[in-house]
Amino acid sequence: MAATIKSAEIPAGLQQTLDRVHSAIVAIGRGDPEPYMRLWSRADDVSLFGAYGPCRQGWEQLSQTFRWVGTRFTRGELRCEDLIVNVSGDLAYTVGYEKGTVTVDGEEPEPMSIRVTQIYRREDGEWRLVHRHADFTPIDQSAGELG
Amino acid sequence: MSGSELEQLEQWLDEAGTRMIDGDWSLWQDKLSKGEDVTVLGAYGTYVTGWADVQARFERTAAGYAGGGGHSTHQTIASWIGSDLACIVAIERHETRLEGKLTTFRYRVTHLFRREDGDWKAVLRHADPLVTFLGPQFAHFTTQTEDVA
Repeated sequence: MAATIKSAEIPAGLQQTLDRVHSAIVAIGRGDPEPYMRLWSRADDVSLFGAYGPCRQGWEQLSQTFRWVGTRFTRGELRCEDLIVNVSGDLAYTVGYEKGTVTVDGEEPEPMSIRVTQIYRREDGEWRLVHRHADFTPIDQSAGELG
Repeated sequence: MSGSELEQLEQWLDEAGTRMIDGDWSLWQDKLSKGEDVTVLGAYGTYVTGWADVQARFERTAAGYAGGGGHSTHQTIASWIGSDLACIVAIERHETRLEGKLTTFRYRVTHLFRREDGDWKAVLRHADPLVTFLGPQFAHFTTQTEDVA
């Protein structure tokens, strides 16, 4: 894993939330979305660009989607790789990957690697997720020559 | 004040995107942070970080667009601004000409900006195609997305 590029100072509260997110992603891989859901803001402006396609806004839509994802995964082994962690004031973001092996809809285990950007906001002293953008890494078209 | 700064960044996104799909990435070039953490997770794949590689990616993407022309607009999903970080989450819509036909592409985009020496600089573009169920049209590569809500 490449070294993480970080802001000079990561507040202790943010680091605690990031650590919890890492554990929560492990839980999602095993089919339990509840720890991850607990780390989200309940404000109206939360949004999700999910890896499986959905664009969702507001906690009601997001929580339904997280529960749906939870029902699809079993016995997975996921881990977070944060390559960038930046914070300023009450806003922070991470960029990186979630990787591992997942069992989707009871099928055979398969490798998964998604690109993930997450936005955090400090609300009443607590760092909470407000946005997740995840996608399956598109085919790299950088190597080909232009016609 | 903060509201207008976000509005300016949103306006910049449309202008920079409109230039981009005409093959001109100069607005992006001016806006990209020189920081080691500047990153593009583009719709054309992979994870590119660091100024030199990110510039090369934008340059290549622009070359692929050159001559198409058209307009880039966006619909904001959410935006936040702090003292030195700003984030805009949006659906970006490119109306461009491909082989003479007006075509619309939509992308889910997350942009991060950081204030550096008083100026807002772009530190992240994360973009991927907006996936909508299109059925057989998609499978047969005859996608016409104009009628998709």
